[in-house]
Amino acid sequence: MSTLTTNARQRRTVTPAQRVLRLARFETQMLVKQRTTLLTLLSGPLAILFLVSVTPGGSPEALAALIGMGVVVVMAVTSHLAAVMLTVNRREAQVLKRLRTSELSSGELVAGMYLPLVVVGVVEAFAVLAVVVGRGGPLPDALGWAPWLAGVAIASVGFVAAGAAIAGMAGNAEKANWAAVPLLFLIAAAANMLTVPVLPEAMRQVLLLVPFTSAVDLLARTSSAGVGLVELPVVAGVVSPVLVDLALLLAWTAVSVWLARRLWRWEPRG
Amino acid sequence: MTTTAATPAERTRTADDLVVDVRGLVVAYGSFRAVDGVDLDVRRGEVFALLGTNGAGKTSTLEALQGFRPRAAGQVDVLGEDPKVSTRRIRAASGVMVQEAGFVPEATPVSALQLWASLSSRVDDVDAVLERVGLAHRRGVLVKDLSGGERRRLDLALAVWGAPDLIVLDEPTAGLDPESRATLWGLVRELRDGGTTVLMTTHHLEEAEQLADRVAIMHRGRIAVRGTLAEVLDQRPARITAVRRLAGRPDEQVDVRTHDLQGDLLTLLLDAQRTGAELHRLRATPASLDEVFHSVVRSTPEPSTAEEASR
Repeated sequence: MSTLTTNARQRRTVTPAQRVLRLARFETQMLVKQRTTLLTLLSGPLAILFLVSVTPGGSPEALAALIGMGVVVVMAVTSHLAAVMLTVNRREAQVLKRLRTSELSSGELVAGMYLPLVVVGVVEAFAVLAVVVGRGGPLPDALGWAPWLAGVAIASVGFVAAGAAIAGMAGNAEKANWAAVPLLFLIAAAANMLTVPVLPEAMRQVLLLVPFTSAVDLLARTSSAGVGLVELPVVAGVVSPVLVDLALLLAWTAVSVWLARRLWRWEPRG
Repeated sequence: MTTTAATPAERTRTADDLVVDVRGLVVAYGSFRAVDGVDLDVRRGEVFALLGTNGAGKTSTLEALQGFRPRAAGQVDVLGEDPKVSTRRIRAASGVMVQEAGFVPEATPVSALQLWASLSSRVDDVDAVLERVGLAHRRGVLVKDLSGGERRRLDLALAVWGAPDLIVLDEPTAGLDPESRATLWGLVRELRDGGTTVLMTTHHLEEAEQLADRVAIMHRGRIAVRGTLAEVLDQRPARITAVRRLAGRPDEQVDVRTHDLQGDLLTLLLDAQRTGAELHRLRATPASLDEVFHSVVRSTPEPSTAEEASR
């Protein structure tokens, strides 16, 4: 049997991280050229940023809640929808099938393809924060930055994974867009309702269980205003409400990743 | 027609030269066995053509070799590695042209190839590769604006990137115009001359005759015939045809099938000389791959419904 070094041809070492970043760079260039996806990535956030900027906030607590709601809704309409479209487009155009024949592992391929969308989600979260802070809203406090950033990063990954899962269920781009709408509305509605002060506490706790909605409470709670939207127990003085929010967010992200893996298809649906 | 497998002696003799070594491969979709106990060996530096009708199991075989398709049974070695275990290492040393695969529509040949170059451990020159496949003049055109033939050329450019040890081409000339086909054939020969092993599937018999050092004909998930082109063609009789004309008698059609072309031709000529007959439109032709292929297809009975279900 011959060996892998049969031919004395030029070889070089390419690390997994390099492959992921190079594919991500290529995908970013392609995203800029895809007008529909670009429109989704820009128009949604701009509209929501506009709404956030004109929504009466008032107290620091209300503005902190606005940050949480704004970030989650922006991610739902951008990272999530863009992930649905990107996945279906790449799969139906058989680009995934092609890239599988490259030296990318399956994990590297998925990471490189979605990395730009995850980064866009994080950048948009900062855009929402900047707009609200510009209106006098609170920044996260010294202890709040780490969970705030963790929440934003996990939510961004989670929304992209949810988009990939939905794309796995849909046969083409049109069906995928329709399939994405119910979750989008559910999350947007729950995130909005959570910021309504007069809502009964029991309903708030139920809303917190809606996918990714705990991020609204987490981002509000970690601001310097420091007030949560939902009454959560502090267990033995150790498990803080922030950890409960993070755990819920992680759980939905894990469910989304699991579903995305289970429903994943490398080739067009027959 | 006989089903052939490599003899132990043959395997021993060639073990050091095998680039692809497949034993008893089974690929199943539910209860249907698309590949049903295939043995295959491809030697270093040769062009091996896997022939077969649509649905014969060629693509499933190639997908199993690349580790894309789980195998129900059998042993597969590609470049000394099991594709299930060493997918990355095999891909680093091989180029693949799949039957149907796409590009990002907004990419151009040059950007697609640059991406490939950035991911590959093999080193090559983007402009030179585009030149080799005849796409240099279309380097900046969006993929969505390329013709089908041009996209196949781009497929080929990715497969030959960095002169891999093994190139797998699945129906490489499907949908190509004659000029593109000739370009591809030229490239395959060039690669083989450079030491690259080529495993290709095709249902264009002419392609196999033009390029392949050895062929295998696959039918209903099994290898029916294999060997060098001469060995495969020897399995079917050659044909001698003529019109035998003798004064005062009606013309006589001669149509002889023979495994001894030279001997029977000589006998026919000597007979004509002895009797004073004239042989018009005399033709002596060896069996064609086309005949062997159709013979394989015809000699394999249609499976009964029960058999099909059990497969």
